[in-house]
Amino acid sequence: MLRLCEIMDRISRATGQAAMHVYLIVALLSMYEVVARYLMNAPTVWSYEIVLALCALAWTLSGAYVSVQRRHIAITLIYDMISPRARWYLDLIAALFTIAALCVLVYLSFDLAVKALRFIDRSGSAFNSPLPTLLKCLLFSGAVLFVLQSVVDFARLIQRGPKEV
Amino acid sequence: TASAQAETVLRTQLGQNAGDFVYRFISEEWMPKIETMTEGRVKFEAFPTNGVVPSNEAVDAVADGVLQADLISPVLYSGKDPGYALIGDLIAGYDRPDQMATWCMHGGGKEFLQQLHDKYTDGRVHVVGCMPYSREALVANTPINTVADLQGVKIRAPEGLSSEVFRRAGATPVALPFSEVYSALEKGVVDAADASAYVNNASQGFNDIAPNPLFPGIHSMPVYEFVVNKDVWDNLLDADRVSLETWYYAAYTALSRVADIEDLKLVREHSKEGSKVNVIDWAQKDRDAFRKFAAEAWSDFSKQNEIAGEIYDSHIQFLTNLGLLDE
Amino acid sequence: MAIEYATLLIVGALFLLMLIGIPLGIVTLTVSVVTALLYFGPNGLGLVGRQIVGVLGSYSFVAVPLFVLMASLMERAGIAEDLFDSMSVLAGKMRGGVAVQTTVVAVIMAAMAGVIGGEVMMLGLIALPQMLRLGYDSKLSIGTICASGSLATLVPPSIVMIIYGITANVSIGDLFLGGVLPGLLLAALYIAYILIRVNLNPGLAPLPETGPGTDEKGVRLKAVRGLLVPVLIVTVVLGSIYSGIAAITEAAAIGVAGALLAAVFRGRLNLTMLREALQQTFTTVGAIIWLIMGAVSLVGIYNLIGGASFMQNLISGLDLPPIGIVLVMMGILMVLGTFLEWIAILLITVPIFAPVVAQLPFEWVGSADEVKVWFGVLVAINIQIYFLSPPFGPACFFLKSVAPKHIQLQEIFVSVLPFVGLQILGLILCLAFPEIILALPRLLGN
Ligand code: NA
Ligand code: NA
Repeated sequence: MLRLCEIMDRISRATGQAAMHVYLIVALLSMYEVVARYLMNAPTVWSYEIVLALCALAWTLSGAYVSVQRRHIAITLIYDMISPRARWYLDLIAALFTIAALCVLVYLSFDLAVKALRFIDRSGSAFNSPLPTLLKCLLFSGAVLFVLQSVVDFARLIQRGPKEV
Repeated sequence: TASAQAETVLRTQLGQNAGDFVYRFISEEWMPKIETMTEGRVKFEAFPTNGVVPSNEAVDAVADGVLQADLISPVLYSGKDPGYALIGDLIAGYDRPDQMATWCMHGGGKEFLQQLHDKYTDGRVHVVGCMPYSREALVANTPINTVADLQGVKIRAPEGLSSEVFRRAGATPVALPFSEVYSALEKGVVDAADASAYVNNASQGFNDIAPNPLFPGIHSMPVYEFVVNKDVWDNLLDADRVSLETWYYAAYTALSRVADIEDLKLVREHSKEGSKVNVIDWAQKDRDAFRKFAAEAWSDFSKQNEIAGEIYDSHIQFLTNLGLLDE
Repeated sequence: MAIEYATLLIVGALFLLMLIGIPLGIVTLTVSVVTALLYFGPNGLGLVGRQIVGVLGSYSFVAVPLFVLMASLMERAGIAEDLFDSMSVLAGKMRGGVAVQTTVVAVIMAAMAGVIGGEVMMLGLIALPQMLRLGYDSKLSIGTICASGSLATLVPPSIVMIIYGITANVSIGDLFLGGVLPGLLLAALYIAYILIRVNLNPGLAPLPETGPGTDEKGVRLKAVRGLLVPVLIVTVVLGSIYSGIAAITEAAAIGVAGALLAAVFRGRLNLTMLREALQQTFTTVGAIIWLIMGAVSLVGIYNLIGGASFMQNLISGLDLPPIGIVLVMMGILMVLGTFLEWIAILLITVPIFAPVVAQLPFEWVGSADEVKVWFGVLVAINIQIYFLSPPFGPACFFLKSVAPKHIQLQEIFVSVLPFVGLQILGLILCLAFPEIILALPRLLGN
């Protein structure tokens, strides 16, 4: 059980650490576009859609990673005032809500991705990349990774029990 | 029976921002009329562009029954099928909105649109109609007096078909997000840009930075569809369906007239002596020559699939009948 | 269900779930999913999904990770230390000089960074020890650092304004321009307050026996060197936007390059540093984007069930003059600012407030577009208040994380209160004199 949890942590961390480099590429591509447009008078048709695809990759895959880092934004006003035991129960509620909401997200993004894949939705621009289809597939993958990480966190919480700090 | 008929609310997403002239004209002046026409059985509720869903997914939301109707341009669905581009905005095709409206309403356009929507929404929406209301004016900071002047001109054209048409006419198409068009024109990064109707361009200040607008425009004339969820449509009384068809026809014809008057009023003002704006009206021979370049682009574009080919054939037939294309 | 009750239920559920500590992104996602299911059944879920995909495809949002990356690179490149050293010219010569120096450094930093956090922490690490060592009043020192360190989201570039612009459909470039003078106004108010306090009560800021800048020539040279890089970055980023060379997103990318170059010059660039900066960016943006995805879908559904028109009727039914309505809105923002995260505040209020304000008769302010910019900057000033106001005042938390152990959070809360007063004064001035906000957009904007 613990072994499985660790593997999941490692997967979330590894995807995050790989995906974070995307922002450097995005910065480089955006600068290239400025140079291409203003200095060489030859704007690209592709940079805008590639930048969006790369950012969507980083954004969707970030959910699980931020979970491992415990960096999701939450209001800790009440949390900070109560006993460790009571905190455990709040953690439990939060974990259940997280898993439930993300399961719905997995379901709905799967539905959207399948519909988009049926005819391959494209952008309709001169580049006409399959960006809309890709965004839906990325949302699905990110949601799956995120929900798996949440299940692992939940299992750990249960194993720890409410008594310990 | 009629008395048992419950009130139907058509939550409808439009293609314009809430403050825009077109949005207010349709939602404030025309939408309330449908209640009187149907004796209170049908009601509209309007939402601005992207107000409920991103515009390029509006028809899917109508199919799902989340929205009940949309009034946006099918050109936004070009990414789903090239056929939508050929119906939604036949670049450099028709000279006047009423010609395109006739093709869409009576020349087969509506039926093609229904066929495409049937394919992509599994038959869950009904097409009431499709019409353009205005020919967009091309804004330019250098005078483009003839089709030959297009040579080497950098034009912002975001969509696949329009950039292909301009490329064939010798121009250099540039893909820029709309938010950047203003400064790009001002700094001369692009020489011209497709924007909107003359009155909209003027109110956004485009004529100040790019004082050589082409009016009437030469390229874009987007069609606005009226699509209703199929179940909702099927449950309406026959009389209410006819009312909705009539309402759409009247509302968009009125819109076209009013927009035309607004455009002409401004153009006359800008054509006066001492005006800083140089309104350019292409000669018919240049319009015809540009249409020939465009026709090659439509032809290539339409080879992507079967229905696009049929839509292309239908346009060519119609344009030839109108005398806009040689036999 | 009538929209009144639906609104109450939605707001109630949001607050309850937020208060018990559920991550905000999950809160907004849960509420929008449940609302969609209740109103539209399973088909409503498609709506949630399409809105989320719309966020993923929004180009303006690409600027956010780039500005965050730029800020974390600059933080690691040590630009703040250089700046602080170079501004020490101001310090030795007048009473309260180091506090004034801190404020000036903060304004220059603000013109480079779009997020707060890093800046408050940097000033806390560099300026606070120096002020305490010189015998400055700790409350005055803490307040100065928290307040001026928060200016990054009012002085352009600003992520708050990017998100406001996306949500309210307002030109981000004009919002940026609109924030310049109010940012300088707040900084001027802080400096005036410091100078008045220390001259009335010299014990708050003793003069150092020997100023740090006794060697005039050396100080001037240091000043020039420390200022060079920041001024270059500010010029390149903001200059490329307003000369029309780059879009805001592209300017942010240029800023990343500038920060990397600065790190090279300072000999601070290495793989570990780069990886840390990327990791910080990835986590920060990751937390924000999941919140926005949930919130945007909630806004879409709420609009669809009649929420937008309900809110508009409600506010116009208040029977107040336009300025009264804006004051009520500012009051709501301030109250929310004491306990909610800024993104949550923006996403809950802006879609409701912005369209209402755009339609109010505000001829004395300007055209409809100018009114939207004016209101957007007022909101950004309000977010400045949010950063300080206890109990949920992030600037206070950031400072606490780097301050000496003996400084309690309560002491920080008390210290920032006078500065919250100054911020409210600045807000009132910008409300009464819209020219403060609109002068630059009129002069330079679209
Ligand atoms: Na800033
Ligand atoms: Na606060």
